[in-house]
Amino acid sequence: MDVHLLKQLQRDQLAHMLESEPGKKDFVIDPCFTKLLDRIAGAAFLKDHGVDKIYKLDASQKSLAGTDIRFYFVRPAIPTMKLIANHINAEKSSHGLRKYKIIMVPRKLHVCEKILESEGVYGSISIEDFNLELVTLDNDILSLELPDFLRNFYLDGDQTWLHTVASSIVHLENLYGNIPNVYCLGKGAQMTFDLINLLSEKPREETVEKGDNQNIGHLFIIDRDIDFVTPLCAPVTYEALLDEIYGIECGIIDLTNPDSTSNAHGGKLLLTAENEIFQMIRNRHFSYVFAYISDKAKELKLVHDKKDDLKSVKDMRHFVSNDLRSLKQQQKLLAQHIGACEYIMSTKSKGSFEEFTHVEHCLLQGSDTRECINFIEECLFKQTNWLTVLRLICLLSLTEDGIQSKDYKSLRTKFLHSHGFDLMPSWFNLKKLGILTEYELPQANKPLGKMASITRRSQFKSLSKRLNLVPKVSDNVDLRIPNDMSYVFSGAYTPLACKLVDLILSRESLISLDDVLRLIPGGVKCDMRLKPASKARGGYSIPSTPAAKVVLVYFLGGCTFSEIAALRYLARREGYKITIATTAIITGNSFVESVMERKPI
Amino acid sequence: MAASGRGVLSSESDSEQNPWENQESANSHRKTKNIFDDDVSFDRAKKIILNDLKDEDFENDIDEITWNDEPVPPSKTFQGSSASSEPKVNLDNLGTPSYTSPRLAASTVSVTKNTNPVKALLTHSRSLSSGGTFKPFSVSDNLSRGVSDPSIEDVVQLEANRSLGSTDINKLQAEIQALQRINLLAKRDRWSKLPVENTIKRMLKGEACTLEFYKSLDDKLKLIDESVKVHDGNCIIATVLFLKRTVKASIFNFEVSRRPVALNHYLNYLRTKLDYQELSMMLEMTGRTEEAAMLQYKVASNSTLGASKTSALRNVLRSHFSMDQQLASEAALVAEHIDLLERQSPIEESDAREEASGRNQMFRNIPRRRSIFEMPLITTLYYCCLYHFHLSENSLASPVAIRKRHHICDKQFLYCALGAQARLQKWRTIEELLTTKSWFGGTKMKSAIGWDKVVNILNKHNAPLDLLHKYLNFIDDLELKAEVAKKNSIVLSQP
Repeated sequence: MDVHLLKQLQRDQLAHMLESEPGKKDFVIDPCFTKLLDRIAGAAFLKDHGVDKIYKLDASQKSLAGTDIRFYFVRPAIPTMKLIANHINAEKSSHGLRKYKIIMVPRKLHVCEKILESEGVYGSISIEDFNLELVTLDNDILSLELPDFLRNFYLDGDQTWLHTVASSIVHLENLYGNIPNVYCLGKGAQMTFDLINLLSEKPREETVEKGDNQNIGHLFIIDRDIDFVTPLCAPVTYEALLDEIYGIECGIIDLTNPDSTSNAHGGKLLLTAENEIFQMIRNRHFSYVFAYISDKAKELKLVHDKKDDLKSVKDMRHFVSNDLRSLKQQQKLLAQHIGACEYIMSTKSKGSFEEFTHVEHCLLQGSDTRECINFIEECLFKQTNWLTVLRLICLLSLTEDGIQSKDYKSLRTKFLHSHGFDLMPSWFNLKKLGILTEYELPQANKPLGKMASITRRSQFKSLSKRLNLVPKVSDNVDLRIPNDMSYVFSGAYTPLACKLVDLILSRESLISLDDVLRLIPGGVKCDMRLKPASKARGGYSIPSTPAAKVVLVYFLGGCTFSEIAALRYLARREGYKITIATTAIITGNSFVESVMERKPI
Repeated sequence: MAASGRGVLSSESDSEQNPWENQESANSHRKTKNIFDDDVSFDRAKKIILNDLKDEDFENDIDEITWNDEPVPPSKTFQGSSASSEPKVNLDNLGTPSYTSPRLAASTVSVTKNTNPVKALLTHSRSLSSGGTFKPFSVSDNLSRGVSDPSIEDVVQLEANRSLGSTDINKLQAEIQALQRINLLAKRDRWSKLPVENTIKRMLKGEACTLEFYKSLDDKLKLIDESVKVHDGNCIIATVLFLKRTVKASIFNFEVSRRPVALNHYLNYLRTKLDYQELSMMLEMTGRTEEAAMLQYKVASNSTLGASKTSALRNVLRSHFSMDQQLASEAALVAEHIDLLERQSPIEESDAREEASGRNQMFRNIPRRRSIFEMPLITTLYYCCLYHFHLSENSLASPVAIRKRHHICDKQFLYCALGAQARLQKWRTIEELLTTKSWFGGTKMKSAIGWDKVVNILNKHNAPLDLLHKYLNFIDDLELKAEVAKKNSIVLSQP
């Protein structure tokens, strides 16, 4: 499954779209697309296809200058539509003849058309879809780059983006053949699968049974809400840390340290498998990153030293033309990674990282809860970073199936005292999402109906026990050369989704897993059509197809780099080829922030 | 396309670049079809064309018309020979209504004789666009350019002439009839309602459709239910808004509140439209009072400033929190917020004046970093501990008064007071803070927070070493003591 094919197709599509209006045109893009378009095409590509000026859409713009044709390349959102309508209305007198084309990515929405209609600009525009869906971020990562999915779907119950997920899967199936085995973990996943069946041109059963052109054997669709614990845990692998501390956007990182004035090793860097040094360290536990870097530095020094014993002019030329250039480049990359490591270290040591990790591990194990609450309170007294504290509070609630009423109220009051009363609606959102709940001690006179609603998320502990998500000390998780998926959290926790993928793939039927899968919120449904590999009884054996080893894991609501690292480890261990698709890549902070009402001061 | 046209009309040399067909076989096939060659007679040309048509190879037809910029030399052999006009007219009539773009339609009408190829071209372009990947690139431009060019007309005529032969006419007429039937059906469909499922399916696939024919309430509700069944948010909100637009409010509210998924979509629509009034009303109506209260609180605390903000909050407290027993603890918090704001604004006013006057030594030593207004409670407490620590309890800025009003626990108070006083280097005050009177008039050192934390805070502000030693010795746990000492680089005196 070559995911770069997707990129090529998107480039062609983009070229066609641009060429659809001959002549020079201006291109106004939604700010969320800047990095994304860079990954697909780049500014030069746009210029080659007749784009004159490129603007970033901005709420402060009243109108724009430019040529007679203008393209808006935007997400279909109501505020954006209003902005565009304002542009058009403001320019009507000066540029009445300008042609406007609004390209809605990935598809046009009814409400957006309604807004344009009600703003009175429908006559001056043409609207087009551009189904840019999954973007290739790396050899094994595809992303819709729709961070809003999480809030929209899980908090507000808006299903608009499900269609995009389903349609992206249908398009993948058109390219790489239908996927015989589909596992839906969670409610949204099952809805997505229903939609896939509706959107497929031909009934899936038929094409899947025929079995020609199958490149992918298994598809996992996984709801984020089956496991909110993982994104809340502090990451420890290199790539995940980079994402948490610097933020990686569309695979591009800006290594300029936010709080350092002198910056020798800053600059933007593309983080993909092609970056050789990065590829070696991205999935490592952070404590073993530096070892590799220093080895590499020594190695480079050896090559560098070669220049001293160059004997002939020929040698010299060889050195200059071959080694020197790559040497320089590698040196630069190495320096950048060293700079990043240092910065991560300093950030982590500043905020009593060890204590935080300890408390987090206690919470996951379910031990010393009182001590954990005390630690959280102390953080609130000291006004420690609000996101970090809030993550711990949510983790407490998730692992304990709700916080006891007295503690819940006290923590809320202290949190609001410490970080501002106007965070109350945000706190409410977390409650609505179900990751920060109040648990009232059941009293004898309380009706039983109340109990049922409380136990909705009571699964963490039983799931964790059944699936051995928290490894025992005796399991000896090696962090240097990983021997268990839980290495991505220093051996304290195995991401639930990854564990399930592992379990399901290792079995041909899910019957033995029934009692575990029943604990998954939203339930599990699967559609298995891949013929089991050579389990022949008496007769001839059926060779398993190469596709049986190819797996697509699709996360609804985003996944973390920790989960990606765990899946990569699984792929290495079992010889699978796992491609990860997601609505967005998230971190603990971006996850919590996305359901906030405002950022505190 | 221009390249391919030239390839056919002028010479074969270019045809390798034909983007549609560049295989050798296609090439040689085309060679025989070159009706514009000088050595091809009329009859032979006719035969070629007929064979061609029998193949029904419309894709090839497109290749052979040229929308080339160069004028094409008209071939005299074909001029004047008229084709049967019937099918042409019919085809035009058939074709026109289905064109969506009026510009496109106009240009086809003007090219009356250009029947066959135009149709082919259009169907071709449509089939491309329905593929999703391609857009109907510049079809209309080619057409209009072609019409303005006089020499094209001849070619067009020539193409029209090609539809000869009775069998072909029959075939075409059969096709026309079939198409007419489809057209009629389509027309009838346009004016009658489709089954609900079909309409939803069309919406799901992004095809054009209209909801206007669903007049009965049952149909409207069925539309919503069907949309919910297919899990597409776009359909759901479209059908919900259609209901909203076409029935009276009481029916709409009743029906939508019975459908949780539809309701969620409507609420989210209101949220993104910033229509808070309607949003709050819907939330209240559907029993989501806490959410409604939070929404009102958010709006009040976000949008307004100063005195009007407190009054807005007061309104919200009265109308949304106080009445509801379930929200008692939240109501207390909103009340605290109001009180905090009312405390902050006079403090801010007087302190800003003091600082500007420059009379107060305190503000000169440690200038205020920013306004205290709208800061969290603990920040305010720290501020008051820093600048107004010794004020009496009946003063607004008194830390003790704040502590009392907001029920701040001892630990929290000590953190703020220690931090502020250490920053001021008031070691005496700190001593007092940590001293409690015992029953018999004696004194005892006592701290609400661990002594290790006291040492950490003091050391951060460079407290004198003997003081650090003193407090360090209150730590009972030897291990912890050593650790704290190490962390703060204090040399422990050997016992």
